[in-house]
Amino acid sequence: MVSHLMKVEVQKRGFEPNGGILRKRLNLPIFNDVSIGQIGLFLLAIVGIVVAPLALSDGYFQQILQTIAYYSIAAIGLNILVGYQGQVSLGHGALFAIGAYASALLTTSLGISVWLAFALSTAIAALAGFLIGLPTLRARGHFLAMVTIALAIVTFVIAQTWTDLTGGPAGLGGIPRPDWFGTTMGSLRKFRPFGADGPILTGQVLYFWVCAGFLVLAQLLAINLLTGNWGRTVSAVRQSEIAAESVGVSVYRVKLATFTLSAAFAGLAGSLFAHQQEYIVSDTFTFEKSVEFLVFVILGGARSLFGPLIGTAVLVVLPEALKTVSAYGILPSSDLTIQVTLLVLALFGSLGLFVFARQGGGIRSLRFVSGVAVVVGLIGFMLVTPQIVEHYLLVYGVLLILFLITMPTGMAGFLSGFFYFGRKTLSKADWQPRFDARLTGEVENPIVAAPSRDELVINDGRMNFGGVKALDGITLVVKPGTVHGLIGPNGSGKSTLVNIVTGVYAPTGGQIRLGGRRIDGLAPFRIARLGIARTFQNIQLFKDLSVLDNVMMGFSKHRSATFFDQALRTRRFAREEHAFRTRALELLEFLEIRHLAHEEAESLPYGFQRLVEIGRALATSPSILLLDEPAAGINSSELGRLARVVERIRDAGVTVLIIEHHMELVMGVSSRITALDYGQKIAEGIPGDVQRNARVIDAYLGSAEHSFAELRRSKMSKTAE
Amino acid sequence: MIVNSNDRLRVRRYVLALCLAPIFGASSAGAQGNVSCADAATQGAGGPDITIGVNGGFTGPSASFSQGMKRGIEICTKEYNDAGGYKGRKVEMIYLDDQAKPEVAINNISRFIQRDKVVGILGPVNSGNALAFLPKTEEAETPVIVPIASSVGIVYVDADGKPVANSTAPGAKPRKYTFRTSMQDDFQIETVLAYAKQAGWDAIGIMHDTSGYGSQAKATAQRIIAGQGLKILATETYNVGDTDMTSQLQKMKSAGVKQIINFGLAAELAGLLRSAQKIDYKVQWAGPWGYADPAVGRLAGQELMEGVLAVASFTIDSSPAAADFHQKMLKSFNENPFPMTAALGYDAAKLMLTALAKSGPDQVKLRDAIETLEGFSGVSSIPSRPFSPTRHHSLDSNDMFVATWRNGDLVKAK
Repeated sequence: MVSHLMKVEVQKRGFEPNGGILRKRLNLPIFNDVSIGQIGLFLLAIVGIVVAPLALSDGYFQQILQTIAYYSIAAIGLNILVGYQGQVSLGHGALFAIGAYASALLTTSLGISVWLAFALSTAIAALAGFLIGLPTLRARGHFLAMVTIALAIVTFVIAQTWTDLTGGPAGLGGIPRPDWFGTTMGSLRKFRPFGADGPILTGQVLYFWVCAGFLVLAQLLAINLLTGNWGRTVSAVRQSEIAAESVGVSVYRVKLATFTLSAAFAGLAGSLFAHQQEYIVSDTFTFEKSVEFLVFVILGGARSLFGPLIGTAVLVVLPEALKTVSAYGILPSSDLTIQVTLLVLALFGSLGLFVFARQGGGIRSLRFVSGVAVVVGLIGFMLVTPQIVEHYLLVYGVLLILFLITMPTGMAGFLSGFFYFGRKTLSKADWQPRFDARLTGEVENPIVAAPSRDELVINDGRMNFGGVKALDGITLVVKPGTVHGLIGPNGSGKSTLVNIVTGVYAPTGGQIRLGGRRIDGLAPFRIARLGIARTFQNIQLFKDLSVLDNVMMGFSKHRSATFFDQALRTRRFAREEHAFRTRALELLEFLEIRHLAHEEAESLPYGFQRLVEIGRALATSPSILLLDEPAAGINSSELGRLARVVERIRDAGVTVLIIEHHMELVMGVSSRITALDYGQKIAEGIPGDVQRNARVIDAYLGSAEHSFAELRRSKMSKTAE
Repeated sequence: MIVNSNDRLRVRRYVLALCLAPIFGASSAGAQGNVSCADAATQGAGGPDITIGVNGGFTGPSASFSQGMKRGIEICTKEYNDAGGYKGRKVEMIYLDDQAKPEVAINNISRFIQRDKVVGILGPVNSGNALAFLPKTEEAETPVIVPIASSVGIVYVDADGKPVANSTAPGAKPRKYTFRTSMQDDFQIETVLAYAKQAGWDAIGIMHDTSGYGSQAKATAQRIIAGQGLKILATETYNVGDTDMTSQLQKMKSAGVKQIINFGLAAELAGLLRSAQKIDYKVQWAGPWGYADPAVGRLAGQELMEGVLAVASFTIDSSPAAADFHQKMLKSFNENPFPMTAALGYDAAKLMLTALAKSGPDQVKLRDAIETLEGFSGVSSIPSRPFSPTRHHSLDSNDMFVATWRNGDLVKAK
């Protein structure tokens, strides 16, 4: 059995530290831990940005490039929220509008410099996002989506009707371009920005550089945040809010920070938009704009670093290109043979999509070919048919639908699937296994217990759900440094007890103290920070994250690197990340699952998932660890290891409260046992005594015996008659 | 059934046009029969095409206005090119769709200016789009003739270059490169109020939507009314998107209002007509050219449109040239659902092409030629000297008239 569990294939990955010169990592004062390849790519992008508008001397192209740049910024911000954090906003068009109007009003009415207005309008949009999120994000579920729809509509109505401020449908004009060394970058003005001998440039080129500069900053910020602990935390919150709280993460704060950040991105985009247009009109900021941003993200590839950029570029260029075809008549011809050929191609493509839709692995390439055939065939047909191409928006709509069908993970996901055929999806946040220091020798005991030796006291704990008394006046003392067992039949209130201790429920009565301090009613993340860690009966791992990342989440409450350390990848951030990674690997070694560090948590067998949960809980350096049925679903041969693990945890100074049905395990490891039934304590003492306690036996076996006895009695009485 | 009635309509329109032709022959300014863009063509050795940009909302909410405009421009361009174009050079119209979105219009205009190097621009249809892109065309010194969009501030700005709401405001002057063949909002309001005064209306109510357009129109109306001595019994508002206005109309009814002058758009106009029918309120409806939009009749039912008054500068019976133009449209497209937009588009194109014959393909000279053009004849009621250095709108309130819906057609009111 063990061997079958061990057979989880450990994948060979190409990012070991000795992966060639391009993978060599450098440590700079900021932007620590980047590879030479990454720096190369970055420099290439900068060269591209500088050269592209010069190569295309056409001002219209430069304007399109500007548009891609600022819409991408909004899309990148939205992706952080929608893709990584998992909250849907249908109101980013409104935040975009707030940025645009703020910038326009600051520069026209107050005469503030455009450069300053970029910063201020970003801040104003961020503030708006913060204020909207403040009450909204406390609620779970899709509440944010609803509120942001309202935001989009209200913002549009205000823009439309508060004409004294916004100009309404008549618009707000005279919005300046920024200055470039004393000259305004007017859209058509030509000048030599680099001295008398320099090249002649138009304002369009210069303004593109401005937009692209901000795009580079936004993209770098997104990469730095999302590939570090911040992105790991945001993803963790998406996957399990309760587990994130259990390691000391304030889910509310994470959500609020994410929404505020993404509002700032939208605001900056709006500001850049306003200064490009030089005249903004309320008709621009309809609800449609918000949907457009969402489409950029989803079609580009949500939860992908470059997806928003790709999606925006394609979706800005596509309608312009189709419009060109329809207006300038470049392609249309009514050649019947070509039309029929393209239709047949599309037909075979869709047949292929249908046949290969459910196949994985090698057939994927066929599916790709089919998808391409459909797109090429159908779009080609529409483009060579003048009657259809006149309605170029129809072609655009059909294209969007095709993209959605053929690329469920967005363009970025689709492309990476194409370039890495056969390779299994990497877990998203596990970007930097390069810190993966080879551990030498046996790890002794990597568990760090919180220094406090606090006693957990539950005094008359009560929890009612409507009329049901799940806990009916429980009093329990867990002595520090011991393993305390909690047993009882299903529904006796064990998990409810764990939930009131960890703050998932606020108890309806009684008091809970940790080392004399009242903790009942505190938020789960606060209780976690006070030193209570837990595992879950229904496993709550961060499924998409790697095993290592799951454990690293456990260090959340010990982090001292700030948001800015992360954004700039300072030494402090890099050192901290390294240190916690090493400790996480040590914990995995201790739990004997070191070899699974880079596996996606969801892909592991049940028993290993339980161990990962324990590892994550231990990473918080708890004073008390609550294990909620750790043996459930693991096979008998694994029990020995589990018992060993529990004992070593206790030896490290961590108090353990273990809830378990498995008598052999719980009796073996616990120094004291409490038995519950119907929400009440029915027995307490050393394992031997509790095991022999009549009420305990009755609670566990009683009902069955009773029914047996009753059955026998009724049979006997029948025969007697 | 539908085909039959269409055929009948077409025959009737034709007969009507024939009958009315002699009556209007001499009455309308510059509107002799057979106006053709061929007149603007000049002969010559030929050469590369000359491009003119046309920006309209061919898809989206203003599609019916835009398609009408586009067809008028298409007919004119064909006549012109067939007759020789500009010294044998053809004029190519590039039609770009702005989907009624201002930011798309700005993209289109940059494309016209920076890529296609157009000599001039026709369009747009939406006032907001015009306001958004005109600073760019002014900067690029590219002449624009606006055929449809009617907001005052498109053409007239104050000393700071800000759009004004009233062309008679002190300090208002035209943008240098911008002209219009469209019916300017303030003159439309003047026209309908002048009609009201002349017809002796004595129980007038005013309604408007709460959009920028509606509120602005009401303010303009109040200003004009103050000078005319008309009495307003009641004023009511509604929101864009409302469908049931019975409560507002009930108030109008109990105030004794017999004539309602309304400022709004097609969908709400239709809603008003239906609401009035619901409460059995018989009232004379009048308003600017929103009521000329055939969409109102499609939404409300044609029978409710009977007798509704709208400001117009063109109806299919307004002159022999107009009747002739309508026939041309029917012949080319088998339909002419919104004749006024086609006429305004046609006149805008003809204006630009006529001026082009004088100036040649040079933007600045073209602008001057448009401004000083004389002896022009169009199919709408455009005067023969449309513009002057201080006047960049071709249609004054005197050139507009009030038309009425009769048997499915908008015709000149008595």
